[in-house]
Formats: sequence, C-alpha cells, structure tokens
Amino acid sequence: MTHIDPEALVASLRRLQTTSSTTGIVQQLERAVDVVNSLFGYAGAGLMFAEEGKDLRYLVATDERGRSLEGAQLHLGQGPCVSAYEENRAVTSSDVRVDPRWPKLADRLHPEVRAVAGVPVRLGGEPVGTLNVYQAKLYEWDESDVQALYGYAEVIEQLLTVAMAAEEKSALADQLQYALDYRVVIERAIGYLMGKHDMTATQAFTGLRKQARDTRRRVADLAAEVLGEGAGEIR
Amino acid sequence: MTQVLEFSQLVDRTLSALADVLGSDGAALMLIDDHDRLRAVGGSDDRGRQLELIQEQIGAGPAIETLSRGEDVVVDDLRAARPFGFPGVAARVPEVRAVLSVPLRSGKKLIGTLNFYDRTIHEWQSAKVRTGERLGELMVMVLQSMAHKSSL
Repeated sequence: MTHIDPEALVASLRRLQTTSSTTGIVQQLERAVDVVNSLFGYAGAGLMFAEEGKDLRYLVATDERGRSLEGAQLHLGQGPCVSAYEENRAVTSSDVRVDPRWPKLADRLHPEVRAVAGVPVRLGGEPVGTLNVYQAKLYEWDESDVQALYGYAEVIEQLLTVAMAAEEKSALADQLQYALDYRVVIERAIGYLMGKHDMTATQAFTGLRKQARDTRRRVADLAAEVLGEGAGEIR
Repeated sequence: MTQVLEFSQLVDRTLSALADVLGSDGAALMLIDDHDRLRAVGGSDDRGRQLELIQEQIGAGPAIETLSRGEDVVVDDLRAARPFGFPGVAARVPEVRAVLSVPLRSGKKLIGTLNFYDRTIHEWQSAKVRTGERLGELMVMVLQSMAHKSSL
C-alpha cells in the first residue's frame, strides 16, 4: 500500500510534461551521479552495469580517477564494485591500494583512488550494476555512509524502473533487460552449484563466469545449461 | 499492474529513499497540477500524507510558504507560534514537529515542494538543508522521467 494519491500524481505529471523536455536514461543517470557526488563530497562517483556476455561495464564516472577504478576492475574482473555486484551487498575498502582481497588492483589505479565503497543497484530485486564512490585518502566507511549509498541506489533504481517500463530503446535498456531476464537463472545456477560442490556463492559465480569466458559463451546460457542438465561441471 | 499504480509505488519508494538518505523520519510531496492547483501527492508514510493534505485543505503551512517565496522554509518546531511555526497545521498532524520544505524546479519553473519531517523538535543544520535541496533535484529527475515516459 502506498501513501500516494494517484489522481493528484497523474494531474501533476501532466503539467510536468509541458514544462520539461525529455532526456534519455543515460543523461539522467549522469545527472543523478553528479548530484550523488556533490552530496557526498567525496573524490568521485560512478555507475557500473552488467553487460551481456561480460561482467560489469562502467557507464558513468565523474572523472579520470573514477574511470581508472572502474577500468581496473573491468580488466581484472575483481574489486570492491565487482564484489558488490556478485554478492549483492555493500562492499567497502578503507584503502583499496593495500587491500589483500584485490592485490592486483593497485597497479592499475590512479594514485588518488584510495577508499572505495560500492552498493548494488537492483531491478526487480536483482542486482544489475553498482553505484560506487571513492576517496583520495584513507577513509573508514561507517554505517551511515553505506545507508546513504543504499538510499541513492534506490533512487537510481526508480529512474531505471521508469526507463524499463517505458520500454526505452537504448543500449542500456537492452543491457538491463538482459540482466533482469537472466539474473534469476544465474542465481538459481549459483544455488545449485553451491549445493552440489560445497562452494560459496562467490566461488560459484566466479567459476560460472570463468567457464563462460573460456568457452566464449554467455553466463546466463551456461547457467541455464547447468540447471537444465543438472550435471554441469565447473572446473 | 497499471502504469498509475506503478508510478505511485515509484514515488512512494523514492520518498522513502530520500528520507533515509537525509536521515529524517519521512518525506512528502506537493506538486502543482495541470489546473495550477497545489496538490498533496503523498508521503513516505501516513504522517507525511496527512501533513500535505492538511496544507492543501487550509492553504497554509511550510510547503505553501516555500512555494510562495520560492525558497527553503525551515521549521524547527511546527507547533511554535507564527512566524516560526504553523500551529494550525501542527494541531492536525501532532506527530510532525520539525519540517524542512524545499522548492522543486523543472528548469526555472517551480513545480512543487519536497518536505522532510521529523517527529522531534530540532534545529536544521545548514549542511542538511543543502542536502535536502540536492535531494529535491533527484526527486525532480524521477518525476520528469515518469512524466515523459508515460501515456497520461
């Protein structure tokens, strides 16, 4: 149940149609990230989204340093934002340059990228990307930082939901639709592999992704095969 | 699900998210409709919805003043005597005490107000007021997105 008057909302949206021009979802996301970045007062912010056959791909980054963070993670397939997406939860690092979880990241990062926090951006409850912020110095992220990030991610999710509902024709909309359609299959395959091979969710997802990449297939197709045959083996 | 119902849920979730980000107990929305009337669209909870409905009915309150002045209205205690509070509104929504009302603009045009509220009296710090203003920009983005991607 909502506490919204639908008639008042519709009448107001009709008026708004005449007072503003339409913009595509990518532009809206760029503006949203800009607002998020200014509100936090951190060094930078960015958005990454899952892409068919690949993993996360950055969409928006406020500056070169942010792009180096996202580019490094894309290249290595690991990092706080990748973990946030795979594990569907907030992941933070007070200093990503010395964080033992991702030892190879530092070499590819701009020297001014130090503390990083990422939260999943979800559609229909499933992660389709991440919202990320970083600091140019050591920083101990606290619960209020994470909750605020989740709040912003929720607002971005509403923007995405409207774009998807309107069946917006764009590369991003296609990516998001793919992520929506197939994430469920991937989640089920992860669950199956965890049970069958006594793996963690991260291990199962990493294994699926690696095998998909090695065999030049989409993760979702491999996941469907694992579930369908019930005997897919991950090496 | 009908588009209108879906949009209502979107606005509801956005208001809740914005309240969470600001750390307030709730957020509520008043918008100008296609007959140039200020309408109580709703809130993140029943208190928020009531806050807006009362202001729409009596034509007075922090949101009304925000719209008339085109700038933030900061109320530390809604029950305080005028000009600091709005006792007429407070009497009808006793659980709402502190209110921050920010104007919403699409381009240069005022389209309504976003109102954050708390159950306890307190002074609104200037940093929080600035944050509220920028959160208003996010609210406008969501509204613009709905306005242009729908068949109303």
